[in-house]
Amino acid sequence: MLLLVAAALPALLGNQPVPSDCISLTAPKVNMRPNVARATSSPWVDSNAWRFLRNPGAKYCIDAPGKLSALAAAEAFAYGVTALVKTDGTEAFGRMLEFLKGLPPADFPSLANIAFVDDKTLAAGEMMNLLARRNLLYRVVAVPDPKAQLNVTKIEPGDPSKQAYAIRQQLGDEKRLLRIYGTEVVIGHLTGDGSHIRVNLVNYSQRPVTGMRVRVLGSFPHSSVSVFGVPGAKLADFQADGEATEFTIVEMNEYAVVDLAK
Amino acid sequence: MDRRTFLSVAAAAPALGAVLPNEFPKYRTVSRFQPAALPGMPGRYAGQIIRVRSEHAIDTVTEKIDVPAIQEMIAQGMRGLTGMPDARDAWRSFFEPNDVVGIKVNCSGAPQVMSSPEVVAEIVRNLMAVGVPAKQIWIYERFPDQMATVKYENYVPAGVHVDGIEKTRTSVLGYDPGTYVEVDFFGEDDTRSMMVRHVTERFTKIINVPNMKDHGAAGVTGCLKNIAYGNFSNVARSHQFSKTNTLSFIGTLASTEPLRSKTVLNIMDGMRGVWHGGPFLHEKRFRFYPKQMMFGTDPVAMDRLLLDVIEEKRKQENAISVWERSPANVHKGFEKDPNANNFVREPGHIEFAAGLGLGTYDIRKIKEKALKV
Repeated sequence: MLLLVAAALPALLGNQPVPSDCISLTAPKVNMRPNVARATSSPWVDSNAWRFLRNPGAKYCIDAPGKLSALAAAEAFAYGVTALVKTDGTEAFGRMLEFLKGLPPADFPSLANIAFVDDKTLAAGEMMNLLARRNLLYRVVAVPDPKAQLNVTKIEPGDPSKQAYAIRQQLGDEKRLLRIYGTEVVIGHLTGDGSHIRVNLVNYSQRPVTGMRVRVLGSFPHSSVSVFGVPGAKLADFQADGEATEFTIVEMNEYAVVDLAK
Repeated sequence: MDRRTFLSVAAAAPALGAVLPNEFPKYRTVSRFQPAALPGMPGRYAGQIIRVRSEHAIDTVTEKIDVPAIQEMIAQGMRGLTGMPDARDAWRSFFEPNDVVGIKVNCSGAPQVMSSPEVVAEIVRNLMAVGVPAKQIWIYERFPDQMATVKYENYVPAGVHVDGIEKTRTSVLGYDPGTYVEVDFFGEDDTRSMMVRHVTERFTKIINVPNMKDHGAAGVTGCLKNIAYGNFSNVARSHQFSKTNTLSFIGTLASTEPLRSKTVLNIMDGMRGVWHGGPFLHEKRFRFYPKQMMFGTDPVAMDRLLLDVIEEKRKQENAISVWERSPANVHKGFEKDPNANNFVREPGHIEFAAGLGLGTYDIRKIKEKALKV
C-alpha cells in the first residue's frame, strides 16, 4: 500500500512496485571516489537537488537503503517535492519523518538569483548539478528572466567545472544568496519572501558535520534553528549586519533548518 | 562604526621589490583589531637574532635531549637578546603575571621532529618563574592528532593547557568567524581562512616555537609559516597544485591583527630539523640535527638565517637548492628523492613578508650574535 502522508512530506514506498508516474532515483550521498583522478580532493556529492529543481512538480521514487532513507527524505523535503522512499531503513526514515513533522510551517517559494534556461539536454543537467553542489542558487526558466541577476542561457563546450566557476565569478561571491564555510558536503536551499528566509541545509556525508559557518545575503536579525538529532540546538556566533546574516551550526546530522526573519 | 577593518595587501605591493610576481591573489583581510603601538612582529629587536649552539644538547643516537643544556641555551639566548644580565629579568621584560600566553608549537613532523617538549617545558618554567600562572599558559597547535603524539602534558606542570584547535578536521569552531583572510586561489568554494579563536579572544601574548625544516611548497618552514598557517583555518588550499600561493599567503596571514601584535617572541628550536620533504618526515635520513636555537622578535630575520641552514645542509647532501624552482623538477617521488620537488618552491615568501613590514630580510642588515653552550 502506498502511504502518502502529505504533499510535502516524503513517504515510504513499502513493497509496492514503483508507480509508472514516478521518476526513479538513487539515494543521495557522498562518494569519495579515491581511485578516480580529479582536479581537486573535494568529495563528490551525489545530490538529487538539480533533478528536483529541474522538475519540481514530478513524483520521485528514491531507492535509499539503510540510514540513507533519512537523508533521502530530508533532501526531498528541503526542495518541496513529492517523494516515495524505498528502504529497509524504516526506523531512520521514521525518525526523520517525525522531525520534519515538527518543523514550523513555512510555505515560501524558492529563492534564487540565477536564472537557468534549461534546454533539457544532458549538458544542461550536468551544469545544474554542478551549480547546485556549489551552492549557486538558481531557478529553472524557459526563457531568460530580466529580473534575475544572472541568466545562464548556453552551455559552453569543454569542462563544465570551468563554466560553473565562470558563472560564479560573473555573479560575484558577495552577491551569492548562500555561502557555506568549513565543509564541502552540505548543500543549501533557500525559500522565503521579503521578510523571512528558510535555510534548508542537507548534509550528504552520512556523518556529523561539526562547526560550519553559513552566510545568507541580507540582514535578518531574528532566528531559530532545528537540527535533526540535536534537540535544543542553538546557532553560534550569530551576526546580522547591513549586508548579510552569518551564523555557525555547531553540529548537524543529515538535515538542519534555520528560519530567519527581519 | 563598522566593526570590521578592511586592509588590502595590494596597497603594500609597491614596496615588495623583485619577488613580487605580476599578479597575485586578491586578499581581503577582515579584522576588528587595531595594531599595537609596537606590534610584536618585528617587535623590539627588529633585525637582531641570537643564535645559541650546543654540541651536546641532543644525543643523535638516542635522541635524548640534555635538559640542563637546553636550560642554559634558553637563558643565554634571552640574556643575549635583551642585553639583561639576569635571564629572569629578560623574561620579565616580555611577560607579566596577568598575561595569558599562547605557545605556538609545531607538530607537523611529530613525533620525530617537532617543537621539543623539553624546550617547551623550559619556556613554561620561565613564564611561571616571572609569575604567569600555569592556568594562563596554553600550548597549542591546529591538529590534535599530531599534537597528541608528543604528549606535552607529561613535561609541564598541571594546569598548563595543551590544546589542539581543530577537534574535527575542517570544523570552524576553534576559529573566530569575525577575523579572517578571504581569497579565492583556485576556484575553491570555501574562500575564508579564519584566525584561531584563542588568539583573538584569550591570549594576550604569543611565543612562536618553530623548527628548522625544509618545506615542499614554501621552501622552508620556520617562524612565518608556523605562525601563519598554524593560526588560521583552511590554509592547505594554497598549495593544491604545483604552482602554489605560499609566496604571498604566508606573510598576509602573519600580518593580520591581532596575530601580528601579539606574537612577541620567536624561539626557533633547532634540536632536530628536516632537510628534505618537509614539513613531514618521510624518511629518517632526511632528519638532521642543527643543535642550535635562535631567539628574536623578528620572524623575517630569523627565517632568512634559516634559509642558509637548510640550503647548507642540502648542499652537503648533494640535493638541489632550496631556490630551485624549475617546474621540470616537480614530479612524483619527492618523498624519497631529494632532487625532486613536490611543488615549485617559494622561499621568496620571507622577502615578501619583509615587504609587509614583518621584519628585516637583507642579510647585511641583520645583526646576528652567536653563542655557545
